[in-house]
Amino acid sequence: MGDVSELFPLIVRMDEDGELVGDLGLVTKQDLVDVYREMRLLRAFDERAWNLQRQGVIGTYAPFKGQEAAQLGATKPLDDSDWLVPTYRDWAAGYVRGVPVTHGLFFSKGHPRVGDVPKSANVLPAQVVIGAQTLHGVGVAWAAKLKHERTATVVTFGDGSTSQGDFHEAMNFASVFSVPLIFFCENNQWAISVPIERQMRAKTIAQRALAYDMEGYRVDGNDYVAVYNLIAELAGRVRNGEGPFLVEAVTYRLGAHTTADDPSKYRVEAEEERWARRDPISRIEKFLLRESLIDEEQIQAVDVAAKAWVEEVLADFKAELSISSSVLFQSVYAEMPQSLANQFDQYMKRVKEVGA
Amino acid sequence: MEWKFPDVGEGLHEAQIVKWHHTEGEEVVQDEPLLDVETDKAVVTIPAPTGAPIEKILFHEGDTIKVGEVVVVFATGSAEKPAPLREQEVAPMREQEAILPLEMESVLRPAGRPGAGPVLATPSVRRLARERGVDITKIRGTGTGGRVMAADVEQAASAPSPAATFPAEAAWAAPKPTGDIQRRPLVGIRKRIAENMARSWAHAVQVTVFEEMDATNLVSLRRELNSRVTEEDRFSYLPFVAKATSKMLSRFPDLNSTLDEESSEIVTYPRHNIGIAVDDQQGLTVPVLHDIDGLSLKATSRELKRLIEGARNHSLSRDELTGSTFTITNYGTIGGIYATPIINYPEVGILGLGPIRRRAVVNEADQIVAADTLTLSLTFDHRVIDGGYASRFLTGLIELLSNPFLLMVEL
Repeated sequence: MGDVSELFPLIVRMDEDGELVGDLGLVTKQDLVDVYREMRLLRAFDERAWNLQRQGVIGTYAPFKGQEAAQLGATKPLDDSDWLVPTYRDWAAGYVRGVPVTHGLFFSKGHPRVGDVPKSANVLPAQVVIGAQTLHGVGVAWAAKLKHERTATVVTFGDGSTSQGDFHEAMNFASVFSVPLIFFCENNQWAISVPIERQMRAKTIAQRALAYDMEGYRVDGNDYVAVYNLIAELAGRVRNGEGPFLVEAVTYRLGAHTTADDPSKYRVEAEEERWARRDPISRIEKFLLRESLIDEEQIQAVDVAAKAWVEEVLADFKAELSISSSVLFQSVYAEMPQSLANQFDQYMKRVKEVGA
Repeated sequence: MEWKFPDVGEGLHEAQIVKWHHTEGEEVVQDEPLLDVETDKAVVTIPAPTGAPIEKILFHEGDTIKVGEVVVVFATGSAEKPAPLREQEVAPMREQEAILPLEMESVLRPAGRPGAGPVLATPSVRRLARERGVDITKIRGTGTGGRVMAADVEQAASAPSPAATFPAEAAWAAPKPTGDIQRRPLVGIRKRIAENMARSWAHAVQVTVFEEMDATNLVSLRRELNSRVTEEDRFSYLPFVAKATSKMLSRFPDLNSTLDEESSEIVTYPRHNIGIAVDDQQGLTVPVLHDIDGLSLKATSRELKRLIEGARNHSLSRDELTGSTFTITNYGTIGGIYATPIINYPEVGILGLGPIRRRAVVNEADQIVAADTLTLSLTFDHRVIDGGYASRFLTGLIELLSNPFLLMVEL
């Protein structure tokens, strides 16, 4: 038997120089202009969030810098009725699905607001237990199947998660019950300080699909065009009753694991520089410049817009911080059951009593 | 706007300031680097939380700052209200803190009788009681389960009733404000000094022994030396005292030690690292003359000048401010003949120097004459050092300093 990893070649459509090595597929040039702008805004937010932690405004934050193409590529092709089951680094993915990025800040603050996902967004609250959301994703997808809904579910997780028991249980269950689910792994190469080759013997994450008799795919996670086209195709197939699928998006965490981490302690600068050249945003920028779809002036304008947008986000964040903790009770069920309503009454009575 | 040091890691308690990117008075740009701190894990750059002039920097490079301490104060204009993010977050948390299940409460305080168990009251009510000088344990709470309410405190404060049972105690808790009292937060270096002093006072059993010596020979030796060196190499008395102290520490090694309370061990050090207390506008700092044994008198003098100047400019590294094994404080240059210096804990000895002054002394011929005299105060930790040991150290030191040719022999 040959090397099984060869069965999972890396799918690329736009290389790091912004050159098309495949076609744009379902992505239009105008899409790329929009996505470029969106990624820049999200990155500005991500960088600001890092500073906010240093300044004492929020708690521990996990930056997604470098993983924008993977997160946007995995969510842009989804329909409103589809589901996203994210992890704690997926604020860009959640944003695409209608969850305000302020949730990334609330999450970091341990603020109850983070559980209050807008009703219009089919997104679960971010999961921090490593890999646990893979099981939740299976549940969501299975429910859709039992209800005969034609919806696709995407569960996102990191490379470290694939070493967890939950991941393998989820893969097995999903496979046995043929649930309409896409396992979307953002392989950013590092599970905190553990490099991928130290935590698995397999050469690729995609090949793990074989063990569960699933289709597995390996895609350049910094190539928005490739990720989008792959997920669009798989989501369509899932809605038609196929699945589950495993997708390994090969990307890189350009920043630290979290604000409590210092990557200079465990990885070399040359590696970071190598991956910085493969940045998902810069390759689209190069493409757009070459195609004369944007110019330098417009690039500058995006800078300004990103700054302004982040200020707006922070203003929203500030305004909602004082939101009553009653949100804790109100955002658990679609309709509050009597037992919880009783607790809520008791709670509010106490709040009044102590005059807080 | 005060900026408090946040937990920049996870579960962090303190960090050390490595570098300030700005000085007091400078205007910073929001999100531009403000300072670098070193945690257990990493050196972390803190971006400025606001764009404003720096009014006050409360810690120097090399200082350890604790999470929650005010590190820097920004002069924020009236237009911009500082840090609303931090203020608002408090509200929901307070609600949660105040919640105790009803059942639990009645167990804790069955009949609402005063003194029958832990007092139930919210933090804000407790603070109110402190501010009013009321002993909260003496108040009969009217809230559920005997909880003390704000109104109860107000009532107790206005009436000469239950709270008056312990007037003295209440008075200690919070003196009645009269006249223009001022309150300012204990922060920064002042706070650190307060903590260190309290720790030293609480741990070491401190005894001070005083002596006076004839400094005639020392004064003339110094005058002689200074007439032969360049202006910048001129000696103060400090290098002589420091070198003599080092010589004596060789003979009395237990004074160059610390008491490791956890392991119940007296730790003596082979090197003499002499801390020098330096009075500074921002507060006392103690630069350290490392390994003085290996230095000549001239090198000692130069090093002392460098350290004292560095301490005043706040340009010393952390290494230059730590690691002392014995400390000298030279209060005499400012004022005070004798003092009871507080040990630079966990060291076991500190030598205080009074002024060199012309005083009337009785000479060997029983005549009263005018002579240069130096007063010395040695505080020692009586847990480690006995009085005889300390006194012998001090008289030996005086022997060397009053006959400096003896010191020269040993240099």
